[in-house]
Amino acid sequence: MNSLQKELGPKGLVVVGVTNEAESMVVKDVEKSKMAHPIVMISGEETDRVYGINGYPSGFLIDPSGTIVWSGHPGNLDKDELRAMVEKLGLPPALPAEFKDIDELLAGNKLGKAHTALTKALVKAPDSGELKTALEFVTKSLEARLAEAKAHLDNSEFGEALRVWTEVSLRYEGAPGIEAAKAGIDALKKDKTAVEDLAAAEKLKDAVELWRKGDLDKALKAYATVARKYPDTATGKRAAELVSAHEE
Amino acid sequence: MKSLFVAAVLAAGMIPAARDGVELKVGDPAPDFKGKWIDYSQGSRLSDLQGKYVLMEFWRTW
Repeated sequence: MNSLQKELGPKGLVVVGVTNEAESMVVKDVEKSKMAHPIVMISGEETDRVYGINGYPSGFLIDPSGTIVWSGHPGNLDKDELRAMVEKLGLPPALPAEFKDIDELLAGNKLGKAHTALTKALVKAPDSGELKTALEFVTKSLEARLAEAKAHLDNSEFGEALRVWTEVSLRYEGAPGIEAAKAGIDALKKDKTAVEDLAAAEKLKDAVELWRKGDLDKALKAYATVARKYPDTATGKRAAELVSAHEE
Repeated sequence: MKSLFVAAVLAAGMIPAARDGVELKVGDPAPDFKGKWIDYSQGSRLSDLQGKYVLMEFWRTW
């Protein structure tokens, strides 16, 4: 874990140790083991229960959308695969100290504001390679998100398309190109063929909310309701998958 | 740290303990939780890390 943090931390991986030890013990242990600053979080037995931990150490890899993509003994994690995933996501390039404000916007995912600030800064420093790279990063990541929404739309995954467009229009507010997301949202709201899937997505969102709160049984029942009520929609099928993954 | 993990694995015996209720699977949303961070100041929940790859490791000191 230490070596992973060292290698992939700067590329955007966050390694979190979760324990329920007393804080004084944890601090001592972190110092003693010279951890390369993985983040340690002290959480109670309830967290272990929800995650079904029955042996230590136990690992989970979570992707940027908050989905579990791997679980098991940390020693069995495929490091090459992890490296590829993290590198594909990419991190905004670090900016020189004089652009600390923009650096913070990028790190905080406030990409629309970062775009505006970068454009302004480039007027004053038109030859800055770092600024150009950062601006390109923002533009490219916006294009990738828009393409993601479009792919959902093409697969009649209207709820998913709406989710991505909504996220994009918040995160990239002020950046050119964002009109596409707003236009997409408006068109979806008028699209009669999308009505059912959007309704299903609204219900599935509530169910996922229950799941995230740790109310797994209730969430599974809510997934099943969505699957039953909207069987012909992409969201209904997704809900059915979530249910069947937990059937023995 | 490594020796600590080895000790932890031995102590736990890696016996698959029976557990009531729902088991988390790949493809599930990660349940959120709150905790006290050491060495970190942005937020207090797992969900504050959304947008990044997060590798979580549950461990205990013995």
